Amino acid sequence: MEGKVILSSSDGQVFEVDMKVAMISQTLSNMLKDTEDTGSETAPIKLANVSSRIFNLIIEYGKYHVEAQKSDTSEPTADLKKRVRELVADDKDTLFQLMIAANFLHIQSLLDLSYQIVAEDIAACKDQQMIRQKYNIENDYSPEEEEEVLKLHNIFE
Amino acid sequence: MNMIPGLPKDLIVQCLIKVPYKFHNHLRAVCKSWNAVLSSPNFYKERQRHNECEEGIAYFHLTQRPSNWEVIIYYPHGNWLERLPRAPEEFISDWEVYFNEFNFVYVRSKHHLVAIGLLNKYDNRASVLMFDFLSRTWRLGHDMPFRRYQSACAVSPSPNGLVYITGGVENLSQNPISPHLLESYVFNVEENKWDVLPRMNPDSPQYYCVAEFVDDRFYVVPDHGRSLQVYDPQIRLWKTINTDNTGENVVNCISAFGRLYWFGLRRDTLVLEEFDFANNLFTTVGQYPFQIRAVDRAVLCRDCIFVNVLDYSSSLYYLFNLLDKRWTQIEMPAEFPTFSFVSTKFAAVQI
Repeated sequence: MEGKVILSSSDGQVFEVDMKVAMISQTLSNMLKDTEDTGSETAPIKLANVSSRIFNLIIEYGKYHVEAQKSDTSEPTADLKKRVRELVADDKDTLFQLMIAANFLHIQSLLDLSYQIVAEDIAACKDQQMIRQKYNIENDYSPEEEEEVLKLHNIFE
Repeated sequence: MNMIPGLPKDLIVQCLIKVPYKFHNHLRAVCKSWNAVLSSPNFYKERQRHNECEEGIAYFHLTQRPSNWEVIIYYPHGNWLERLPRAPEEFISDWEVYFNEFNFVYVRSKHHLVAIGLLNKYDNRASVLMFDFLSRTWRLGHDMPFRRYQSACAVSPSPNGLVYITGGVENLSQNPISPHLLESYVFNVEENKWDVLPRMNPDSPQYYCVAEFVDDRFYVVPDHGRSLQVYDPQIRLWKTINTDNTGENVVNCISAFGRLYWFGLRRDTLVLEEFDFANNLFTTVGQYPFQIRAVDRAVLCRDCIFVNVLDYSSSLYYLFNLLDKRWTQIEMPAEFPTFSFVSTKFAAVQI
């Protein structure tokens, strides 16, 4: 599909996006199909839940995604995952907002990569305490309860 | 309480199912809501659905005589071991455990490891013991209706978690005489209930046998080969399949990718054979490359058959890759317990 599509973020910034890039979002793809069917005038589509900061990242990702589909890199997923890590610059709150936006826009590939990144980050924590610190989670176990739960798995190498 | 501040719960769960099983102890210990997610039936189902589950070999073994036992799971992919939580004391001390008494299987649809037919040393009941990977606890199931030695066992692909038990003998010192032995039993893990199947064809009873499910049908293969009995749960009927060329001494039977395999002896050579359903014939797919006459235990682990053999005093472990038909010997981690012929059982786990 050729052409551009006009979108606006929650804070009112207007983006002109390549149709190819916009189509990676299932939500946008459905909206655009509807407008095509009715033949209505293409007013900017307002994305009430996505800020301009996050939308810029989504567009960047969309470009990588379209590129990756064209090129024949040996490890497209690993490559894209690295790009997403660079986009969010190791900031978990940015990653979370990106995930919420990807969920709203139905960008499954970006969601899958983000799940993978969070899972890797959690697995990289050396224990539960480190996971709590990293993600600001309150510990609601008593020390005895925590010890009991830890006993459920006994792992050795 | 928020599982992770700033991220909706359904997105967090999607992240957690991708965390390798090895770190699930950390996940459970973060806070109560994380533990609740890992204890819910959907969590491990979602892992299966997204192809994230890991394969392990569960090893039921005696730690010392007379009856102290434990279960250790080996995960070949990451080469690490897990010791399951210890069962309550009375579950351990009530039984004398011998390998020919009980069956040990994993019920994938219910995430349960099940040891069936453990003989209680006080009153000769045949007990069922289950480990639930969600609550990570052991519990007793209802006793088997009739106790039997050396029975065969297979898990049905049904989502209800059904374990089929067939064959065996009534008493190790006697011939198989009881008409009960023509019956097969079905244990429903979800409902903790036993069901009795119609009797198989009495002209070709299968006392010493192995069993497997292929395409929703229960195959019972006698150790002498020659005739197979097949049960179709849909119509509740048995059928006999005659075949001319089975190997002798069929020791293990494995179902993989809709095919039926087993290890058997053919002219004193141990072979892996595949059943050709169109022609009711066995064809050799892999000759065992080592100078060992008996495979003791074999289970399917992803694309491979995991094989344990006893070579005089030591245990050897091999993987036979069903795709490229190659054998590889595997080194177990040093902490893996020594194989004990009298008590060991293996089951393939996906978690």
